[in-house]
Amino acid sequence: MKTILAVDDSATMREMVTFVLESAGYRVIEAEDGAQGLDRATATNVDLVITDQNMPNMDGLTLVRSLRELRDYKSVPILLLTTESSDSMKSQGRAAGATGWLVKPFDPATLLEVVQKVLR
Amino acid sequence: MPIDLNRFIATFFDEAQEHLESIEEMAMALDSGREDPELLNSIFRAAHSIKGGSGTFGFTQLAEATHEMETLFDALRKGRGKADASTVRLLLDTCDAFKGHLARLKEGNRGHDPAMDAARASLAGYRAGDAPAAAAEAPKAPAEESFFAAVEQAPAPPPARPASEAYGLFDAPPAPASAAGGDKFGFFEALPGATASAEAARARADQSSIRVSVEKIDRIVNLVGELVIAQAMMQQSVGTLATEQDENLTHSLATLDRNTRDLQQAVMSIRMMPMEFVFSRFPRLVYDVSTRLGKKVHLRTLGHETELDKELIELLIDPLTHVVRNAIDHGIEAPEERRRAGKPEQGTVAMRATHRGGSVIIEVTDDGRGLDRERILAKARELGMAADESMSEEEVWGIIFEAGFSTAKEVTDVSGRGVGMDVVRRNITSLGGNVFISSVKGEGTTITIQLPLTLAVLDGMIVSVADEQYIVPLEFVAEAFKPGPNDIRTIVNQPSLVAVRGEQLPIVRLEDVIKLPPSNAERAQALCLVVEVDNRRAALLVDSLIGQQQLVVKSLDANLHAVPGMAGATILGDGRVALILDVSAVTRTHAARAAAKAAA
Repeated sequence: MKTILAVDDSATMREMVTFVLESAGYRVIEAEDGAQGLDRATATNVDLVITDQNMPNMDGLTLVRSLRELRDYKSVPILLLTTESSDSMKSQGRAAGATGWLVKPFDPATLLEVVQKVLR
Repeated sequence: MPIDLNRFIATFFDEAQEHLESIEEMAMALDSGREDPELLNSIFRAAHSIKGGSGTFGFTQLAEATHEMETLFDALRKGRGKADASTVRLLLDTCDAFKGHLARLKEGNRGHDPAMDAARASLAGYRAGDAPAAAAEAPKAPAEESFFAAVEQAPAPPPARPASEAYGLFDAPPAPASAAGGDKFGFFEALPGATASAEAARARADQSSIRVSVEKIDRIVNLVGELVIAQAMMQQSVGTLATEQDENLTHSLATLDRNTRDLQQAVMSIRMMPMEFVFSRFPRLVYDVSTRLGKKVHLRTLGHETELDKELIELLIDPLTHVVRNAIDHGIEAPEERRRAGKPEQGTVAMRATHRGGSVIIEVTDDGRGLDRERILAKARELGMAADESMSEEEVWGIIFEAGFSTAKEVTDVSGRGVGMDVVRRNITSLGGNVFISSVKGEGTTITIQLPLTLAVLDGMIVSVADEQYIVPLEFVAEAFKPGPNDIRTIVNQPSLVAVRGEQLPIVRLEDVIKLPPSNAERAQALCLVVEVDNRRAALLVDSLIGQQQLVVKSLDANLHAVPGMAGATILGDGRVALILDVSAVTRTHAARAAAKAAA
């Protein structure tokens, strides 16, 4: 079973992401902000990280950069959840080392589609 | 995929509410003159979070209005424009509108909310006037449609935006038909394979807490209450038999007794909530009231982690609100008056919660003008209340709690809404608590509220009156004694006063409190139970004392209807139902009778 780390400061978003992914047979670990996400990622090896961008105690881009510095996370896919899909967001995300991005609000089918794509 | 919306909506409502409260709190911090960029950031983030959630559920009006708030604070945090008192007012007013809107949404009212139009317009207008540059870099407007809203309205496939806009992988080939890409998601580079090691050696991060509905907890509390009663009944009926016949049974009973009590305590602790819940609403109240009165008031709250039964917490909010309002309105002086008195212009109201024994103590202290003994006495005489110079401080302050008393020269719209300290005291007493005042003229006033930790269990004295058993909450019982024939002074064929070490206490018969037919039972053996509440003492006449016991309180209102003079009921070890006396009604009965006699 693949394990996915879902990082979001919104409990609503965490619950939704977890519900959708668990329903599809994934194991989900949650974290409430970037710092906790980094802790969880170092404590457990995960196959995919989905992180919100805007969070207290370390935002999504910083989390991506920090994860990429870890040996275990050099090549683990990381998806950024954002509310916009502007060019500046894309260049920032790419520069930080994220694998892809997903616009909020999203529908479950889209979330599953992109998750299956990166985990294939 | 079928999605049960309610599963997430409840979380969203809770979360949005929390964000709104924190926005309010931060707004007021903005006004304290503290330059803190993190504050602006946090307000931005909170608005952003609400926007995200509301977009997801199709709460368009909320999404649009929080979008305006987010835009405004994005500009402010980037140094365009400056937050001042008007920003704070704007935030507080719009938060009120958002809260009202949330309440409507919670009730399932998805209709158009004009208040939200106004809130959105004032946010947008404020931005346009104050930080025009902000509009240019505003984040994109929230999605005009949402998957979840669509699911709810029709079972048809959602009219979600095409997948090509939803996500992207950054380095995926530009536009092969099979690859999702475009504007909704994207990939940055070639997909890395999942690390093989990832599946090994992992444990699910432990969840530190779970959300459980209050109904479920209340049901458990209730069941445990029943269990405690059943256990007591079993103990009583098997107890004597067992000690003689079976050591194992005795041992098992003792274990059952211990475990039941532990279980009860553990369950009660689930219902406990921190005072934080109460305190969190006061910064806003203090801000609003003090701004309206043109006073400067700093609120300090201490003991946020002090826990109290959920039910009590809810019932505590109203009286405490009144006490704090009073402190600002009548206690804290206007800035110039404070300056003249050599005090800092800004007054302080401090709220402090602590545990003391089986009680919670909540103190509200202000550093205002303090109570004016002479004025209270003068006002009391004017109102025809008993008042004279020889009264102790405690007695004089006690006058404030009498119905209809208010020394404020004018009734303000802040405190004087017909709710007085008498209502505060009645509310607190009905919860089994007590209120005390201490005050020093010119230095300030402290109102101390004492409450039991829970309403669900109480320590009671079981008494017998006319072959029925009643419970008197132990905290109100001062002493019990058997009066000698010369201790009772009879007036008009009624034993009406009893001497207790020189003090004459009114005698109250239970028949008078609960309107039983007068009993002709021989009362030669009667005992006096001295009860004290609200600084009033009375001697309750009972036939005998049966014992003390911890009891599970059952509500009469919920199971039958409210009975005057009774605070609730319980089930005794022998299975009989016993009524719990409302001791303040006992002392009030006497006061009412005394007043009636005086009038006659």
